[in-house]
Amino acid sequence: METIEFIQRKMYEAGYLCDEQPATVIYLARKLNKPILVEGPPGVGKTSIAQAFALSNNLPLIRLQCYEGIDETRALYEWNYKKQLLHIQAVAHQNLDVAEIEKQIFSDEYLLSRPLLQSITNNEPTCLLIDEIDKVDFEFEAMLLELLSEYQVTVPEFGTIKAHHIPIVFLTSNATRELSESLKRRCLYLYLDFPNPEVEKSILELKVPSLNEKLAFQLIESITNIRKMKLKKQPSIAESIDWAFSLINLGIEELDNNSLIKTLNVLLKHKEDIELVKKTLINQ
Amino acid sequence: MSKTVTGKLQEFITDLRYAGLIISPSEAEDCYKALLSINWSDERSFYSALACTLLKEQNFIDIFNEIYAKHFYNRIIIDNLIDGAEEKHLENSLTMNMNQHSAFLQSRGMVTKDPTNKRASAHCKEKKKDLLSLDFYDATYLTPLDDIYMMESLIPLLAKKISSKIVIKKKRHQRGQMDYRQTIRTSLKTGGIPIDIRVKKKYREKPVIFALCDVSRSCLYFSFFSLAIVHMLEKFFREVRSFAFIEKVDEITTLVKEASYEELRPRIMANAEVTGSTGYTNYGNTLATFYDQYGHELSYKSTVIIFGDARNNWFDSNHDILEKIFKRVKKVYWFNPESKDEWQTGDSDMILYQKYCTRVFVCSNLNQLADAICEL
Repeated sequence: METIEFIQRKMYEAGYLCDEQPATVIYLARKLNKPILVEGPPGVGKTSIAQAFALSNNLPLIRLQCYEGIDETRALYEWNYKKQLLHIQAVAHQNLDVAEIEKQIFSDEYLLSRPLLQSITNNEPTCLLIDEIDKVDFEFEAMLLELLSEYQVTVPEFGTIKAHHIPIVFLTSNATRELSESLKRRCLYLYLDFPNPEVEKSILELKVPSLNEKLAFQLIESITNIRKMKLKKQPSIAESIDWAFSLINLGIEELDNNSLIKTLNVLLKHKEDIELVKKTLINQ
Repeated sequence: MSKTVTGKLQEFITDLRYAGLIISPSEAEDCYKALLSINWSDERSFYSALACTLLKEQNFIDIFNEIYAKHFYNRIIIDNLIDGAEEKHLENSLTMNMNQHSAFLQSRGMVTKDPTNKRASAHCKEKKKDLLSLDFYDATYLTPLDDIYMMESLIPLLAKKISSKIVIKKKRHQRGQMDYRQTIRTSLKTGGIPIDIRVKKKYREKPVIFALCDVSRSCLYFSFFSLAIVHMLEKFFREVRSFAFIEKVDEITTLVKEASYEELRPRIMANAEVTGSTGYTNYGNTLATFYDQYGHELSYKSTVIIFGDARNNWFDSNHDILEKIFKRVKKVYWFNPESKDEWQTGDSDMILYQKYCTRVFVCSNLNQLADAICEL
């Protein structure tokens, strides 16, 4: 029997420092067979929680990156038109019954599975990641409901395909728009925020083992200070990890103003933000 | 004297609902199921189980935590829950509940059977009126400040709801003529048969918004809520310029952009020149100064929105100036917190101004305000 602590430990081994709350949500998601909706600011590890989960359980990760205008032919399934046309041409001289040909071309063989269909038809259990769900249209969101609650997909020409194994589903959202109530109702909700300095330090130590204690401490201190400034985009955890790597690669062992300013562009991605931080540092 | 666990949970859920969270019966059921699968004696798991099944919107986290604290203010209560209902019995009653048609109705029945519970929840109902339909007039004069803060916390949520509605509306209006080139191109996939018809998107120009807000005492909250929402929807407009007025008008665009929502009120009062010699609201003078100072910037691309009750304190209405503005700009909208029958009473000049507005919206509460903004 899996316990919450066990999940935490396995996630840690997979390189993800998992708080008790996310671990509880994952535990419940498995128990209740429900998808998890992960929300939070960019770069707090919404996508990596799914990746780490897949890794820690040795599950294949099937990822669907959402974008505006995505439709079911990209996400769910599509008929392989070209192959169907070729088939019709190939059997044209056989004088077959129309119904017979239709039956042939609307079969499994001509169905291209896209990520969502793959996740339920896979022969072994999978982990499905639906990334940035807030980017999709409302129609698409509604289309997902059948999959998320019943773990099945209905193809009009073909029938209903039920999941061989119920996948564990993560949906991530940057909350750029309100998701529909019906979607939220079907999910467990997990909000990830920027971690407190101690937790972030542990994350850095986990991700960047060659980081020495002192530098880690300095890094966290500066990041915490920088996050307090009025920035266009706050540095995320992913960026603080990148920053730690760059400092190590540059052979910097102690962080001073000079080395900080030199490497700011790893941390900040807006010209105005860099200028602002530089100005504040110089004035100190 | 232990209450049943389901009763206690149901009270908790009821309170959350009164505070504005939308919790469906199926979510309540998920919550029960989740509680059955975790170890209650660990408070963090207990909290996580409640939060991940009942709270689906991070903007509500403070409200949720507050109500959580009220119901399960320390470990003792949770321990009592465990002790009170022997664990075996608890499990039975919960499973029974869920097996029945609706767990929610059943447990709700349990709440009303207990007379003390009934009183408690009735009290709660009275106090936490639905803030979204709370009258702005009441908000200004009668409501405790705590509730106002609660209302403020609903604003971002409301703005998000509106923006998703606008996006849908925009999408529907966007379908334009067929795009031949694209259609032919995609038809290659189907052997030259145009199965997938592609259409061009219609181009719609974003308006420049001039928002005039009455910041006098009588419609203070109304104005600020409106202003906050308009600014959160900035992406739908080319530009939003805000003006505050009581007796005179002054631009507050930068103030609104810089100040956080809580600071806005005092900062406008301190920095903007809105009061004159008398200190009474004067719509006539406001329109005159606005037209004088900013009239040349108005064009057929601009939309003027006025937030206010049109209570002019018997001053000259200057409605001819509104007429000039009306002729100059694309649209004039007026958002009035008073209902239609009040317009003709006392010092209200709404009837005079109405002629020169594209539309007048009555928005006496947040819900109506949100609906009106969707219509823009």
